[in-house]
Amino acid sequence: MITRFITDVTTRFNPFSTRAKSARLFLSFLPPTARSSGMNITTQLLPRTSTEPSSLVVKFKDGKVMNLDCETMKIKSIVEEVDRHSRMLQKEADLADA
Amino acid sequence: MPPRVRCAVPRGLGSAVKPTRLSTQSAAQLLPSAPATTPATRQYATAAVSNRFQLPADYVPPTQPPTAKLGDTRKSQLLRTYTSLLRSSPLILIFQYNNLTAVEWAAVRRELGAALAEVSPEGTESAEIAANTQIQSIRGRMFDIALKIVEFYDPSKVAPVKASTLSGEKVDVVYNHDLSAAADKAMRAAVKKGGELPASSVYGQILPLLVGPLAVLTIPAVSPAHLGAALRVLAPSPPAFPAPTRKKRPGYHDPIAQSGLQKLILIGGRIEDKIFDQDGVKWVGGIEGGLDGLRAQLVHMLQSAGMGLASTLEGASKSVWLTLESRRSGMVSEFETSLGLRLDYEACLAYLVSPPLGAILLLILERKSDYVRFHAWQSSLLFTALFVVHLLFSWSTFLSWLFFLGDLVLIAWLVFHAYRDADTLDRYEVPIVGAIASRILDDE
Repeated sequence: MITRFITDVTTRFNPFSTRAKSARLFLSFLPPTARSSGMNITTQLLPRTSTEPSSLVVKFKDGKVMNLDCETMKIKSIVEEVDRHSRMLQKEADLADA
Repeated sequence: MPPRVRCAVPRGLGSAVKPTRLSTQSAAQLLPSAPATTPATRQYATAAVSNRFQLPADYVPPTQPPTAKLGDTRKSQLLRTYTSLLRSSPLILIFQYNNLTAVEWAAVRRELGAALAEVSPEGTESAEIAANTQIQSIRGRMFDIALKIVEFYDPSKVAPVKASTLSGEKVDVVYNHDLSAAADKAMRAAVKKGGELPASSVYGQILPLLVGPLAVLTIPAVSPAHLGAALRVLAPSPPAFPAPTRKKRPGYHDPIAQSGLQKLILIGGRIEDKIFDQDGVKWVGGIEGGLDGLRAQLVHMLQSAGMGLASTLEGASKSVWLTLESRRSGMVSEFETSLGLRLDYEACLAYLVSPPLGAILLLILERKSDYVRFHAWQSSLLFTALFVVHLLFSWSTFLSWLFFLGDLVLIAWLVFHAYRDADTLDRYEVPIVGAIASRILDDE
C-alpha cells in the first residue's frame, strides 16, 4: 500500500464485531514509521455491546477525504481504493520532480 | 552448495544391522544373542538378529534429516506452548500490535517490567507473579486451535488403548496429549464448519478478536494490582489509570517507547474464562485489594446481617454504599478538592487572586488536594519574597514598574504550568522556593 500521501487515519470500531476486520487490518498495514513521518492515526474502540458500524476515514495530502465503508468492503478493496488516489498523487509528484 | 545443517551422515538400515564381523566389542553388545565364539552353522547375519534388533542412538533416517527450524517456532511446539499458557494463565489480555520494531518491543517490555516491579515487593508472592508475567506476539492460527483444544477437549475422558511392549506383553496406554488424534477429533467435532457455537462458548466469544497481528499479556494469577500496573503502561486512561509521570519514569516518555506503545491497542481480555472488552478489563483492574478485598467486603456485609432483619436490610445497603463511596473516594481522591472547584482552576487561582493573600486564603480553605496546596504554598512563599523585594526598591519608580511587569510574566508562566500539569499532577517547581514548598507539603 502506498502510504506516503496519507496524512490522517481515523478509525472507530468494535473489536467484538466481525465487521471490524478490515478496519483493524488497515491499521496493521501502516508502516512502522507512519507516526514519526507525520501521519496522524487515531483509533477509537467502541464497547462490546455497541452496534455502531465501524468507520475508517483517510485524509490525503491534497486534502481529499475518503470515508471508506468497512462494513461491506474487504481489506483488498479498501487498499485498492486508497492506492488508486495515492497513485494519482504519486504521478503528480513525479511530474513535479522531473 | 554444502548442506545448511551439518549432521551425522545418514546411515542406511543396511549399515545399522550389518553385524558381519561379530568380533568387535560393540557389535557383540548390540547382539547378545548371537554366539560370538563358536558359530555352529553358517547363517546370514540378518537372520540371526531378526527378533532382537535395535537401532543405534544416533541413527538418522535418510528420508527425515534433522530440520533447520528452531524448535520453539515449530507448530507442534507452539501449540503445546499456547495450550499450557491458556490453562495456566487465568488473566490474559489481547492486544493488536501494528508493526512494532524490535527496539520498540524491548522498550515496551522494559517499561512493563518496571511498572510490575513497582507494585510487587521483593520476596513475596506478588514478585513471583510479576516475574512470570509476559507479553508475547502470537501466531493467530495456532492460538485459535489451542483455544479450541483447551475448551472442547477433556484429556481425562480418553479411553486407553492396548499396545505391546518390546517384550511382547500387552499393556494399556493413554494417548491424551494435546497433539493426539483424540484432541484433534474432539476439536473438530465441537467446531464444525458453518456450524453455530453456543453463546456461552469462550471460543465463540473470543473468535472475532482473532484478526490481524496479535500479542497476549499473560498474568499467572487474577491480581488486579498487577493488571492495573500493566494497564497504566500499556493502555493508560486517566484518572483511573494515569500513565507514569515524566519525573518518575523518564524512559516511558522516550520516543521509542512512546511510538511502540501507540501501536499497541488493547482489544479485550479473558479473565477466568470470561471474555471482557476494554472497559471490563479496566473495571477488573480497578478492584482494590484484589480477590481478598472483595471477600472482605462480602464478609463485612454478612456480618452486618446479624443485627435483626431491619438493620440487616439497612446494613447491607449501607455497607454497599460505604464500599462504593470509599472506592470512589479512594480512586479519585488525588483529583478531588475540598472547595468543589476543578483541580486545575483552583491551582490557577493560587496565582491569580492577589498573591500572596489569595494563596494564603487557599491554604486555609483547601485541605484535600495536595496539588492545589503545593501551588498555594509555592505562590505564598514566592510572592512574599517578591513583596519584600518590592519594598526594598520602592525608592525607584522605574525599578518598581519593571519588577511589576516581571511579576505579571511570572504569574502568567506559573498559571500556564499549573493548568497544564494538572492532568498528571506533576509539580512545577520554581528554583529554591518550589523545593521548599514541596518539602513543606511532604511533611504535612
